[in-house]
Amino acid sequence: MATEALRQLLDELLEVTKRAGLRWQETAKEDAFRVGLGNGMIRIQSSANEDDDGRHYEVYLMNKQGRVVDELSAWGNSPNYALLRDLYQEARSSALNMDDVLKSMLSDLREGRTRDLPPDVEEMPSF
Amino acid sequence: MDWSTLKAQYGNLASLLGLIISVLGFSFTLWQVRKSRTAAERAQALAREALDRVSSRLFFTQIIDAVRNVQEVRSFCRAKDWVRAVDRCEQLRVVLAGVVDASTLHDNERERVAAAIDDLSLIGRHLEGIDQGRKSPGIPPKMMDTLDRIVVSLTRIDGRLRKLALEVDNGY
Repeated sequence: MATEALRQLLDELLEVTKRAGLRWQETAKEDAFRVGLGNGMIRIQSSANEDDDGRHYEVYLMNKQGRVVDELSAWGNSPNYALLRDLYQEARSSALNMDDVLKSMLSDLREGRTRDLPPDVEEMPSF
Repeated sequence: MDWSTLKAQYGNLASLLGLIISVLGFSFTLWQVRKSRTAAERAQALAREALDRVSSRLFFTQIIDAVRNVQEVRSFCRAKDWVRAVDRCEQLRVVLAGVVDASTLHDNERERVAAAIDDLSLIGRHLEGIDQGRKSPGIPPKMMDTLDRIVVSLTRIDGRLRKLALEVDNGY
């Protein structure tokens, strides 16, 4: 059961992440990201719904020992869906350094420069 | 010299002597109190040092346990022995939860241990999913990479502690 304090914290977290002041980290799971704050951390994750094409989002507030202190989940038409979806996208963008990647791509594109990528399959040396 | 003059003179002398003895006695008592306090403080410091040494050895053992556990999680995952992998993952989380607040850890190490605890909960849930047939049997490469990273982080802590122990033993 999520408290009002958690919702308020998530609102502020979204604002600060949007302003690029907060660095989220990748986790062991592809679609989960976390940030350490104070004496604990916040993890947001997303997964596909089993019965439709939509996604649902979950946020966990944990202490340093990894114990879940509070949580919030949202799906379809639930009231916190937009907040969690936006936070997830911002967290993902921050953890994967999306802005920098896009900026460097735009810069290369404007300068008409491309970079050599390694071949898909490594060529075997001939003996 | 009449009796009263003699009495007054010796009386003054006796008072002076009494004062000197009192001052000396008081100084001696103060010195004794100070000495015993210093001895008590030294004993306390020695006890604290011994306690620190024991807790540091305990911490050292916990880190070694953690390294062994994470290596076993990897091995059981490779062998597709999901029940044991879940078990070791859980044990590892318990060990790491016990060391995350240790004062011996540096701040960056503490952050890595806290992150490892969180990663292990995600990995553990995935392994439980496989064990219960809800997930296809296989560990995503990112999870195996994370386990490798945890081994490296814990081994670094272990190395630092060993170096520290050697320095203490050699009196540096």
